[in-house]
Amino acid sequence: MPDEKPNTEQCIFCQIISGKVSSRKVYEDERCVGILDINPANPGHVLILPKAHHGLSPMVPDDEMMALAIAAKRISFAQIRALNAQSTNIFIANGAAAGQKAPHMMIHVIPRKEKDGISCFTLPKNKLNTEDYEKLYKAIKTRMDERMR
Amino acid sequence: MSCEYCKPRKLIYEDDKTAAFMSDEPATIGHLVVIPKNHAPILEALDDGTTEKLFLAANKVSLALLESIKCEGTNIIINNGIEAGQDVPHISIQVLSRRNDDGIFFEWAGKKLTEEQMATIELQLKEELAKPVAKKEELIKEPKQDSKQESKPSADKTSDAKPAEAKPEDAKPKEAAEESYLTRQLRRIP
Repeated sequence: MPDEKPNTEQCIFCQIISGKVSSRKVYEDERCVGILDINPANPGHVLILPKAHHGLSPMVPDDEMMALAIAAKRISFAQIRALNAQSTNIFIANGAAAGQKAPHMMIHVIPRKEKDGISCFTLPKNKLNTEDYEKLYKAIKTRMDERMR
Repeated sequence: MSCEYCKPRKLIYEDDKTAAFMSDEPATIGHLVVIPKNHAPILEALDDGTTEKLFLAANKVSLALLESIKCEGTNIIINNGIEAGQDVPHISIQVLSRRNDDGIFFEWAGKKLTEEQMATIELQLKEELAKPVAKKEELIKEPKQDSKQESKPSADKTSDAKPAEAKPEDAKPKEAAEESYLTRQLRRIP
């Protein structure tokens, strides 16, 4: 798991946000910025970064997450309109096991076209037996209910 | 309607706008699906309030996964359109529990673009994003009725819709353009 404490000095993305490191910024509001990924999955691939440093999305406060949501929707829409994307993927990785590579939480917005060679978002489909399903359901539901109380 | 996600299910979470449930075809053990309760095919068909709630709900169930089944990470994914891998015509956020050895990789070969290409894309996106936010989200809230909406006056929107800024004469060609855009969008819905 990435470092949880704010580390604006070492975090390259915090330096991008503060302007110390240059980037191609396409979006900005009070709480987040959208920059072009320098190593894009497809041309126009945008990274949305909360201005405050958070390691993982569950650490992002609700008001910031709402701003990120609106930014993601607007950027997705802009990719479709301005870049003629046919679809978009919006993607967050929490933890190295999930493919997270940077210590600053971010949302990828990737413009997609037919046969563009990206296949990782087509998820494998498995079946759970009833017993495992019920066990899993109970564990997650119990935790969720505790959280919402 | 025969939408798979509109069918009643055992829920993990719900609020006034969104619901979360276990995937019937999980990619990993602990794969949740978060949806807007009102049927909407793609992200652009959601109003801002529902979009916010959808992301908040996804983030909450993501945390619940981390805490309940002790997974090592989570992915929060929207496949917005067929080309992006969407296979149910109801927009959703897939929240996956992840483990180091689960055999799933979200990886792509980075495409090399020239500085000039990057600069062009930057400008195109900047210009598009600098445009005032249109109320098209509300216009496509019920995309199945697009043909009917054509004949409706532009004032029937949701409660949070603001009055149209343009005069009726000015608004007409704009709406027509919007309509053809929406029609194009609807074709990419699975």
